[in-house]
Amino acid sequence: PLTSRVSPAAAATMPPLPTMTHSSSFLLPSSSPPAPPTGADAENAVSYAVVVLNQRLPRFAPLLWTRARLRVCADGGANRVFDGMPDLLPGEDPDEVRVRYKPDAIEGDMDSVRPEVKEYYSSLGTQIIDDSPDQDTTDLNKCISFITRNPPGPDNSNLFILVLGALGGRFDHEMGNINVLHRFSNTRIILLSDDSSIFLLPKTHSHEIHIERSVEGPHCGLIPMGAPSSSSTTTGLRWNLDNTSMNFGGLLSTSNIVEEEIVTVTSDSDLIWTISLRKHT
Amino acid sequence: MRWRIPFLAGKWLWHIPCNTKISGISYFKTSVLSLAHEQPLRRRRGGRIGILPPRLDARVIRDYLQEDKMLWRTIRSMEVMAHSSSFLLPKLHQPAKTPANNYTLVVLNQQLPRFMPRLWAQAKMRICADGGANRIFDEMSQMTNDLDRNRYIPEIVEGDMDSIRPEVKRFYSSQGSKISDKSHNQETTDLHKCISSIRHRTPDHEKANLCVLVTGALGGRFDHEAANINVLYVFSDMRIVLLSDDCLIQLLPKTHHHEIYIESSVEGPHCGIFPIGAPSTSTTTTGLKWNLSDAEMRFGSMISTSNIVDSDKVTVQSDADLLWTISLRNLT
Repeated sequence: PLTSRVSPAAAATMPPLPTMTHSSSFLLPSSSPPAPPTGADAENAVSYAVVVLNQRLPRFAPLLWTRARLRVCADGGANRVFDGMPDLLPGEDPDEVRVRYKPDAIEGDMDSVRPEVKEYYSSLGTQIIDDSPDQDTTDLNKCISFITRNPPGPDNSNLFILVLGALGGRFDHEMGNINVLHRFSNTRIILLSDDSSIFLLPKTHSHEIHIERSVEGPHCGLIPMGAPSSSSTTTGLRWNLDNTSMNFGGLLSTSNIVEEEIVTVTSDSDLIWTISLRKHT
Repeated sequence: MRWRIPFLAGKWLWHIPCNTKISGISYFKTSVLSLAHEQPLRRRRGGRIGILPPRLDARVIRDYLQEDKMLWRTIRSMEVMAHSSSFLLPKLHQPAKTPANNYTLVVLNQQLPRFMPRLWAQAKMRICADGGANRIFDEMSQMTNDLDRNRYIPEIVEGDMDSIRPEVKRFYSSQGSKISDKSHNQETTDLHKCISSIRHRTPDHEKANLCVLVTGALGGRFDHEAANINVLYVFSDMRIVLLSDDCLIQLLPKTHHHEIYIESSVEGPHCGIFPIGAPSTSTTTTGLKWNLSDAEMRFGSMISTSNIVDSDKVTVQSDADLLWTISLRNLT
């Protein structure tokens, strides 16, 4: 409706939204290190934390683990690391792999982690944080809180939290994990699976997403999860949005294609950005 | 004076005594509107009391309300919608006279769930959406230890045909499957096309009994999953259930009060309710360990995850469309 549009005169005097840049350079193989950060980020290097939830590890788990400065397992995620890391590094001795890929902390109510796995990591120095089940916060929520309270760098300003095992499996877990993106909208959190990467584009910013074509794309989408969007605008996609409204029951941008190296998105509503990951990642 | 309308199930069950006088349609609309909004009865100013037909039944009231579709929808919002997963039970355990156990099965292009053989056997009709046909071709015989592919022929293979392998398409075509090539339509997903066709093929009087079960809609690429969930919203007047090894998902439209009968041998206890389309300012439930009571739910704030079913019947009413999910178990 016209009443919700800003008049041209007012628009001219409104400050533009600050820009938020996004990049998946952490997915690049270690032989090609991430491009040096640009703009404001150049002063403080980006630091990564990894959270592992209780699903099978994606194939790039060892790469991200190595890149991260802090690694936390949520309960049964510790089983996945214990069993799965040696499987992903078949040429190496399993015991050496387990010692090298040791989490800094295991957090949760401990009803899924196997006792021998917990013992093993505890004896190696992993912090064990035993939380009672809490209906207001999910395991991921607790891990994110832990990380923000104990950031690996000087502060949280350039911290990216990479989450493995947040998608698929029980749908209520998946929804709870996506809700964590909304609840911690000031923290950079990226949910990763073998097939997709997803993160929140808060409506408070206009977004520049730098596409790493060697590891991601071309399929992408923008989803207004939780509230409709009456106006979204994009560039860099095959089917761009132009002040387009999106909502469940109507139009969502899915099976879109990235066409350029930078995709821009502006919206009046928080959107979930998703992009497919290439199989050889 | 109390007004009661017998055909309304749920909260407001009113009947209109035959000898009561009210002033024709306009007064009647006001009174019904009053019921819908829980206001005390008001007589329209200047209205005169007239006489209602002696036998007042649902058809007559519907005729009165025909002109005002919005009012009719308000009344209909009190109808109860019942849900049951009895289709997941082996046939001999299914209660007699269960509604909607005649279901159509749609198979999408993901690894088949463990319970696919039973779901396939008990379906009224089977549709493979594009690459879903590859899945049946490749995986069904391993699951059933039955090498005879001829026993698992879908009635229809539908979609844009960009994933189905040519030899798979030829095989099913030669075995009598109808191949419905919708490649000219790139605007909608394969699931959307299948649901649309099912709806199109169903006579009006049978539409209310339609039930569609879908496998392979969850997991995989997230934008596909979102598009598949969107199909539940787009076709919100149909019963569509998305199934995976771990859970089922269905829409609870805000237009109805919902009664969900829990088959505890195959589902639960973990469940959840999500307002993914728009926030809810008021949702009330019964039958859960952590019930909601006129509660707000919103992404960014509280949504109901990791809840537990505490009863064999869960009820939900809300001012927003909600997604219901419950975990599955013991299914082979």
